[in-house]
Amino acid sequence: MTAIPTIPAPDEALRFLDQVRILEDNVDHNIRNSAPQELSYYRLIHLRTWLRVLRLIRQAFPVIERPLRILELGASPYFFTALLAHHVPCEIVTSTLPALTWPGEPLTIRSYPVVVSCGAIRPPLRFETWTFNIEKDNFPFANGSFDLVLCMEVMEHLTYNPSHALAEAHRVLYPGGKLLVTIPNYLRSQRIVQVALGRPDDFPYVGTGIQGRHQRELTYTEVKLLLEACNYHIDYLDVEIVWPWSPTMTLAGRVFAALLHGFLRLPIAYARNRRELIIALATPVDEPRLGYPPQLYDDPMAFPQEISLQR
Amino acid sequence: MATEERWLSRYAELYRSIHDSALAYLQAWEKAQNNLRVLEIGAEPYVFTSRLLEMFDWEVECVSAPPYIWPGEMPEPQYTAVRIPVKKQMRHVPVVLLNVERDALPYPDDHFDAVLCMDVVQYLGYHPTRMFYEARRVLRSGGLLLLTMPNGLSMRRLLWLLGGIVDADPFAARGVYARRQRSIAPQEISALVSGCGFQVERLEFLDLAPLPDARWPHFLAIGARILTSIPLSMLSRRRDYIVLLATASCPLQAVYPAGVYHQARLYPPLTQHAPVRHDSTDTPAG
Repeated sequence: MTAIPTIPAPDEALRFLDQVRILEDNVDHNIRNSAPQELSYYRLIHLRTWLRVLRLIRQAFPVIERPLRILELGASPYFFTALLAHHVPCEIVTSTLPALTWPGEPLTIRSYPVVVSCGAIRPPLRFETWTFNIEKDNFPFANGSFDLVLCMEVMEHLTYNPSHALAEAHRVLYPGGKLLVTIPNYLRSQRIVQVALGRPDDFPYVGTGIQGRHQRELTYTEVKLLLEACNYHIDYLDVEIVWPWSPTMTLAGRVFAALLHGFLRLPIAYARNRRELIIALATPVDEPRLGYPPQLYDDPMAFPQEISLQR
Repeated sequence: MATEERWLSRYAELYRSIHDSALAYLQAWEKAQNNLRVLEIGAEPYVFTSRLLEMFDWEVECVSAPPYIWPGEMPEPQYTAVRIPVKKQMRHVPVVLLNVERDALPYPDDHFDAVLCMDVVQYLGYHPTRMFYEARRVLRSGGLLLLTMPNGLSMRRLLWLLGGIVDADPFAARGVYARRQRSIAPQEISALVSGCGFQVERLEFLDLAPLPDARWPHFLAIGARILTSIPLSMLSRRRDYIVLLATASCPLQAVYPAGVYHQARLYPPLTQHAPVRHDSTDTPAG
């Protein structure tokens, strides 16, 4: 096996991502291509998260004897998929929800070939993306198919039943596999500052559909409760500061943000619980379970209770 | 059935002061006008409808979202009716089950004198402009729009966020539309309503939200009420509820304010034509 490439510095990663182009994808190609500026902004705000996750994956799998089988949920527009494929030996399968889908709208569960170019000197990356609703449909994969399931900034878009997605991820994970979740912290300081200043703080309505916007962000405690209720052992759980500052921030704003970040980095729970992004790494234990913590579900017994033991 | 009754009485209790204040505004507005035709959006479980019929001699029609169903599985608008006991008589109220973010309202233009939209907007997650556009279309010129909703920038919410209390709703068994999907700031609702052809007549901030049972949220909510009772506009604007009255006095249009909407170019065009109404509104449900 060839040497595993080192994790790039942020500048280098951004130069890599600048060359990433989707050559073929029959799900949402036109909608994405009509918004190059949104894509470039998307890349900037997620860059540090992606590099942080790459490092966590390398720590979770220090010895990689065969390519890791990875399922990336909600992977479109595939920037992280491209980074991952070039920095971790792996075979990737992804899922995506077509834009303009209503929650629960019946989908044709099938795969589409995706081809992503990563610059002139590298061969194009080819993988499959599946269309299904991760909070309603059974994942179209056999039990124990994956070493790693990635659920990066996906759970906050769910409208009804994130436990379904966690139980299905549990089922398709190989024993000893890992689930990696990132999700914005509902109680982050940015939200509190906006509300204090009398400015709107909630995610706008989005033209791609109800699930295009953040429906329910979680807190540190809620992520912990949810993972444990669905039979996961938590290996790592923290709230981190990963987002760039706005380039239009005034000098006064920068001074305030610097002081605030100084406080948020203190090793106390109050400060941690107001940082930006929750990152969790967990291992499935026992059987897959649809756990509904009462803090997160208004009537746990009224939600689906049975897991299909399919395939 | 017993659980359903408990749920209903709890619902009536929670919304009592909100309904009281809405009825007071409507009484002031009515000014002895007779034979008014009124549309209530999001009427289920018909607690406010019942109070409305007790108080006014109006012709009331309702629009609701069907519960326990995914938005993506909702059928075309369904025409049904409910029976509501009013002053020892059974009143027959026509109801259309539909999704206000997806469907046009099945009424002709200029059909209603008032549209009531009590605690609906915060449950929408995609396209409130569709609802306001349609409300403006079915209202006669000068007709009334009454909105109530929690204030997204309330002092209560600020204190809760500071205290680490999550004000967002849990996932709801009754479905996606039984969960508050978005906190709305007063400036956002003003922009949406006035952009869709309404003139905002009054934007009131009142303390109407029910007090929660849990100890810390309860104490912080009381603290917020005390702070916002101080007669300073920067504090009274932070009361926990918004009551908005607007009149349909500007031309019909659809607005997608920047900041409230993202990727607005992807929204379907709104048509001015309502679907043809089926002749079945007199048939009771079942």
